[in-house]
Amino acid sequence: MSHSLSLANSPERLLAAGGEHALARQDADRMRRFSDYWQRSQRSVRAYLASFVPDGSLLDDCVQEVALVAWKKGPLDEGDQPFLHHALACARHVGMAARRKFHGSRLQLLAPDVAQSLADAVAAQERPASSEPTDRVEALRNCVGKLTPDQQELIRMRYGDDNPAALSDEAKRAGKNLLTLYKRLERLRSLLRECVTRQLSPPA
Amino acid sequence: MSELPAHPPGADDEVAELFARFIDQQLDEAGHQRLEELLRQDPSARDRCARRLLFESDLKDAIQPNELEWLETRRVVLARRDGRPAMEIQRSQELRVGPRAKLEVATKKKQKRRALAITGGVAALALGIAATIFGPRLLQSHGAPVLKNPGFETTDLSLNTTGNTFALIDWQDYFTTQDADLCEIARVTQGRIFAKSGRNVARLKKGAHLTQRLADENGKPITAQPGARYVLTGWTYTEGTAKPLLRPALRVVASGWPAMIQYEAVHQQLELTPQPGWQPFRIEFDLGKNLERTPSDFTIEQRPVLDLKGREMTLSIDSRGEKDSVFYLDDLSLEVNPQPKE
Repeated sequence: MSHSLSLANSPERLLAAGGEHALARQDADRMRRFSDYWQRSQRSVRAYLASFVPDGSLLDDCVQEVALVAWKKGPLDEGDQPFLHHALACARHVGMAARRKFHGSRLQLLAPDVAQSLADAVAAQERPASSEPTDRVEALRNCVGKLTPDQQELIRMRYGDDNPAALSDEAKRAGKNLLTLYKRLERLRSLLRECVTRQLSPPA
Repeated sequence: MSELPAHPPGADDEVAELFARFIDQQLDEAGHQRLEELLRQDPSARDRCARRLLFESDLKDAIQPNELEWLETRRVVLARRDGRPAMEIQRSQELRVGPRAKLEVATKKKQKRRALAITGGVAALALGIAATIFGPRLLQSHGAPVLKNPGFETTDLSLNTTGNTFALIDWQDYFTTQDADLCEIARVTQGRIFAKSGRNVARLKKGAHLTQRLADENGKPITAQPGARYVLTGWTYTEGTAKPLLRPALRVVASGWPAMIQYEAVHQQLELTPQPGWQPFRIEFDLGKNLERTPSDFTIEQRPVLDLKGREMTLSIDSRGEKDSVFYLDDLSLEVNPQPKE
């Protein structure tokens, strides 16, 4: 699902001498800054939201909602930390609202106090960025690339497939227990974590 | 990762295992309670789980990256205003956030809707032909118009320095005027007036108009048909003491430029009483059986009679009140009016 917002500019401003170009430049600057800040923040926003709503597609929707609020109202002139703080504050509201919406569903949610303290721990982790987000993601892609095709497929089913039942479908197809599949997945995640840590550690 | 010596051996493994199952939504009730207990009691367990959530976030990004997509639509209107060439540019900008696959799905959905609209159009055409052949009385209903941007909320004026704009998205088809604008009313009136809903309203000074080409939900133009009946509803708010006059009409624009020729299929007028507060209005249109009309608005000498049947219609809402009269409009709706008048 994609979300959208629309805004328009007054034609008078556009018709002023050179106004159109000035506006286009302003827009481009704003977009560039937002894109830059969002790329740096979205990892934390997603992890923060996951404390409240761990489900994949619901989490995607919440992340998108936060992005749109951040685009509309986020501080873009004060650096990436104020932007991140604003985005996390939005994420808290969005996450809590999503919990209320799905209260009583089959979704497994942590108790509100536990979810909030976990989210706070996520926010605290992000203050001193140990490495650039792009470096970590790039390292992860390298590590995924080192897995066997079957292992990569399992990871993609869990993280890249829009079908939430992809893993249970696979378990049925392969005649395996779903729990076994999840255990295998967890072993792969452990391997990937170790692999990324190795890649990002400075050489001795 | 620092391991706290106070922890019983295996506690970290237990949290890690429980949390992994929680992330995959595979945790049973007892495990869930145990995980919550551990997270409440042990700050280092929370930190480990927080790091785990950040790792999950990275993994998601590595496998299915999010993208920002920026769409911009420009509408350039070239016209002659007060005898001089004038240009107006309207821009609509849209930000989409999500994984590329999902963004493409959204676009495909739009294409699918369009395909369905075309299929629907073909089916409607076939039905129309069948109805024409097998019984004209079978086809009594007329297309239902769906106003675009009826509450004027498509535009976000929060970044606009003045709180108003003359770019009325989806309105002012064919003609524009400097006497009608879109405004974030609470801002431009310093909090005296709030919108009926949302934040924006249309402001019409004397001589202003709002115009929109009528289309159904699939974007198919609404054409003039004998016996068609519509009802226009909405809310008005009058400003000042000069009496405003609301004069809505369903028109056919035969030509916009260089010669302007318009035909009115039907018009109504409503005197608005200057008083504070939003007032609802309801105006019925009955096109009648005979749709032959002489031009209502024109800039040429000749006045050819035209049968409007089957021609695309526009809704025009004009302000024809006293000098300096101003009123606001919000939450408009135009629907088919099936009930005959008493």
